[in-house]
Amino acid sequence: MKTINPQAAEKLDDEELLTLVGQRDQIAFEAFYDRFERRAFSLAYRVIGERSAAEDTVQEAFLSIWKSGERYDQTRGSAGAWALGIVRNRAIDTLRSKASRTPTLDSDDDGVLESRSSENRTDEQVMRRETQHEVRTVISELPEKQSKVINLAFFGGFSQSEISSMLDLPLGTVKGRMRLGLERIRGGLVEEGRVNA
Amino acid sequence: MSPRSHESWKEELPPFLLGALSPGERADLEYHLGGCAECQAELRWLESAREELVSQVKQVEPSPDLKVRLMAAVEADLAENPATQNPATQPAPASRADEPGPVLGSERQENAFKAPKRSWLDFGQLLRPAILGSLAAVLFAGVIVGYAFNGRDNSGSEGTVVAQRVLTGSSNSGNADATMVISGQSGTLKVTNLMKLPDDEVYQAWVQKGQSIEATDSLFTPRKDGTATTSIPDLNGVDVVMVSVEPKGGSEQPTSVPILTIETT
Repeated sequence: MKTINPQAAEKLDDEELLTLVGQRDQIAFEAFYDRFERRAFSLAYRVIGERSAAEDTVQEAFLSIWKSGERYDQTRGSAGAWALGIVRNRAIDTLRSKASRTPTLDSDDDGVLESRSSENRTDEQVMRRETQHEVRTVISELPEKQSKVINLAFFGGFSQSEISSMLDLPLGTVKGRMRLGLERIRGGLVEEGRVNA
Repeated sequence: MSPRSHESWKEELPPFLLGALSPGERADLEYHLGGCAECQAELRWLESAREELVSQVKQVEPSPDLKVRLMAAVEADLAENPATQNPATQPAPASRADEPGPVLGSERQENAFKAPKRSWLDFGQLLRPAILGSLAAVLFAGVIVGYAFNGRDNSGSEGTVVAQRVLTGSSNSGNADATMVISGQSGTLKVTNLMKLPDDEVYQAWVQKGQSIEATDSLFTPRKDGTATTSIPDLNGVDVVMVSVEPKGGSEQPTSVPILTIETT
């Protein structure tokens, strides 16, 4: 089957490539993968904390994109956010399925931060890990109360109810801290001129 | 039980973005989102913060094997389930009869794709020597009149596009490649490998509706790297988009054979 040529694929934006992926265009898929490979792997590794499992997760996620690219709906966000959302969810699934063989807490690996399923992690372990390996990112500039709930949810795969129990906080407080944290991150992006107010 | 307040739904947006809702909570919110423009806007507003979380993750290189394995799996999938021919990129229209629509197509769109039709490209290929010889406007018009539609209704309704599609086209001469993204009634045409033109010439886009050719205001010259982007604001009823070389300022009728053709239906 004739497909788009690689040079033309490079000129397309993510959404356009993904539309071609929905038409089973292999060149478009490869171009799309190339754009997100590093970010996808880094995200999976951040969540899972093991290279081989992270690679398997990325492979599964992108195969899923290959087979379901047609289902991408651009009205629900960017193609990149959609793809990385699939990677993140797969990584969380992997993390949960690895409940019986979790990484050690004293690893230097950033990816291990929340790398334990909720069943296997004690509050004490999570707290210790949080304070030992603060990630130097935008999250680290947030008040600790906000960064903690965001980390536990997004990278740890904990539900808001689990976080509420773990931190012994009312559910409304957990929701509030998530909102304040996201708003603060967004505010930083506005200050840097990266998004509109 | 009283219905939930709007504010209580809004409170769920941050945990939704962070993947912290239970499946039931998520399904409920998604249902609400489907009918609440305010929550949709709020979600989009907050989304950039989540994207920043991803972008701030410490970057780590995967092994080169990952891509090799992935693409091998894709190859295997294609071998196992041969690709549905992509109507937008397929050069020979005769085999289109059994193809489904390209993307997110309604039944109506799919039927439209099944209609066999001839393409400008066929004529372009036949006429390549003539193109090189700078065919006159009369010939261009003659080719247009000779374009056959096999009885297909070209009233315009079939050409209406309701979802984004990406079409690709080929040049009748030179190495130019064209991609057109159709969203709603409009399209964005991206062309690569365009030849530089003399100062007194421009590229002009044309739309073909049935047997009629209409000029567009899309006049453009390529950038230094041979690429160009232009928009086609109204594709309602358009069957083919073409590009030809015209005198600076554009023409009301084409004065040369099109160098690019893209079928939109």
